[in-house]
Amino acid sequence: MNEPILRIEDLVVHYETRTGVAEAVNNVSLEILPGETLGLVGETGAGKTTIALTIMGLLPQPGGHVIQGKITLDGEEITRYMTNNRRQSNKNDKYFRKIRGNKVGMIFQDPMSALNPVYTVGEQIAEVIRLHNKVSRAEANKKAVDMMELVGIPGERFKNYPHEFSGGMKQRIVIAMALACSPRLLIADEPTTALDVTIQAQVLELMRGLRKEFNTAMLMITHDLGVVADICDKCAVIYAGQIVEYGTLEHVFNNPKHPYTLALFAALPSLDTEVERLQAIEGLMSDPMDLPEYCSFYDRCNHRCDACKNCDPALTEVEPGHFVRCLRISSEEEEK
Amino acid sequence: MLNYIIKRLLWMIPVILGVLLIVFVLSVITPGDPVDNVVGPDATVEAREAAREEMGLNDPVYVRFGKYVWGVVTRGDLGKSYTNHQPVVKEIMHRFPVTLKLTLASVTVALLIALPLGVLSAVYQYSWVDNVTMASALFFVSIPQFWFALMLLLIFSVKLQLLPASGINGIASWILPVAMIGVGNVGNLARVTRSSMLEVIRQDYIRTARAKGQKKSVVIFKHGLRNALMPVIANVGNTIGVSLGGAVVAESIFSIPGVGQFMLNAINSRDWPSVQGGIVILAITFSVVMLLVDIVYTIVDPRLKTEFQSRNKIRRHKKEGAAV
Repeated sequence: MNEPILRIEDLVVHYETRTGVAEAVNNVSLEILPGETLGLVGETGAGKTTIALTIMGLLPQPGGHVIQGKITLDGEEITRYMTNNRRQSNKNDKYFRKIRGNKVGMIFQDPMSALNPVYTVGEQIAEVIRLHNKVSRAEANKKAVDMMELVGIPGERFKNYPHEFSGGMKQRIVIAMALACSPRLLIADEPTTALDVTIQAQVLELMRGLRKEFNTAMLMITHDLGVVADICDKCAVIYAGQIVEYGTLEHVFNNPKHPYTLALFAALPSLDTEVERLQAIEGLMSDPMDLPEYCSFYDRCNHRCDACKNCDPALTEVEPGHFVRCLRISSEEEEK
Repeated sequence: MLNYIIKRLLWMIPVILGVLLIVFVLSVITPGDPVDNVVGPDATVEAREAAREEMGLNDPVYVRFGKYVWGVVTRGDLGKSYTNHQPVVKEIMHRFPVTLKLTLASVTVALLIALPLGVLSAVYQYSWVDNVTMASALFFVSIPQFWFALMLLLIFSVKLQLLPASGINGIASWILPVAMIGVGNVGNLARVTRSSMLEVIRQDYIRTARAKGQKKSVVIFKHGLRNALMPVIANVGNTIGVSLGGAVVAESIFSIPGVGQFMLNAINSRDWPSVQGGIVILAITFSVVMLLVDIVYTIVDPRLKTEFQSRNKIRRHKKEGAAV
């Protein structure tokens, strides 16, 4: 039972553009067990969405390439089907079509634009059901109505078009669509970013309930630490395409080690203390087209030292299951 | 929806009146006396005067215009031809189907070719398919129609003797005129389809559809094309209008007995009632086409239908509010 649903090992993804190669994901490894939720936290451009699209086999073409690494989904290695071999491309496509929407459901960031404006929401939910199950149109429609009711939308709105729903309701429809085939893994790419805070809470509540009901493993991509605290079991902090801290929720939230994680928590407003300004992290993330040889967080780090400039730190286990990528930490560990 | 259609039909009345007025004024200020063509150059002064009186040309302009409009509105009478004294309506209605067929055939053929080409060049942007399509589209949009028609005639009728050069006898005789009118439209519509499609395939809902596990071809044609159709439909409306005009050239080159050829002859002989009649019919056709285009819009994009309905609802609310 404890075979992970998703295991990513040493994944490297590059985008080849006219102006150069963007190193979007660099040596990322992570694991999600059945029923578990992993939060993937990082700022815009850190490579979160690229990881999600890689799992779905939907990297933007032309340009997106898996350079190395292995992704195992439900015991099957899917990276085998990601070769850029032209003769294989039909076979690859066929393989991934079976996975998408079936084994892996995906929820997108902006519900406003994630639904096709010219088809009814019912049709759009039924489409994914009919794609992966041998059912008649009527049966698929009935299942679609059930899914709508499940996410709290009256079934009689089956024949409504997306523009007749509010943002929160649209996101519910997208969730219904993603879960319609009971996927083993649900990828949620910033599912609450485009929503109001009150609606965010409702949607998260809904996802928590459904996760239990379907026993779905979940990869929750977000830049909101509140969302992670709310719904995740494990947390991976990603910076410039690298995981800089990885552990259970308790590890990362109660005992953050990496300077970036610390800075993220410092940037959160607190209710207890009154502050004039929120604390920001100075500077910008390194350009993925031009990553430094050394630690990519060096330029913005409060704890940097000269030694940092001379090495690219590796992930070090600071306590069982808690990994940090920082020279300071790894040298401390060595001293012990 | 029905209210909207009725409103649009009513709006056509001032449009057609305006067209009538412009054409009428043009006929009055154009040099040349229509009587010359009726009685011949050797007629006596008395004969000319008699003809002038009979044609009603002695009345003041506004009276003539009033009479003409009155005739059109009450009896659907577009006057009598100056040259053969037949009712213009009869002459035109006899020829109109030919022109309409020619126009619709060329636009349909153009669409059937342009849509797949546009979609292909959008999906394979910057590939050789895209480059070849867009370069030839530019070429065919740019060449003058009449020159192209003459080249077609030269190659297919004169040199190869494959297709008839004139008349309408059987399918084969339609090929050249349809090609002549259609070829520019193919270029134009393919370019519109491509740019619209390029925008659509980058939308989030396309990614959603692919994330469902749908086939790429289905994603493109089912989820993409329907959304990309709006600008294409708008363009088809205009294209039909332009092609109705283009039919004038095609009909005279290929000797097709349509409204275009009829009007061209009428212009040459200063047969103003026939010219006016032809223009009125074309104007009505164009207005109806534009109305149809708007109706097709609401079928393709459900958002517009809701807009119509809600606009009516708001108006009703306002009225009820005023009554209270």
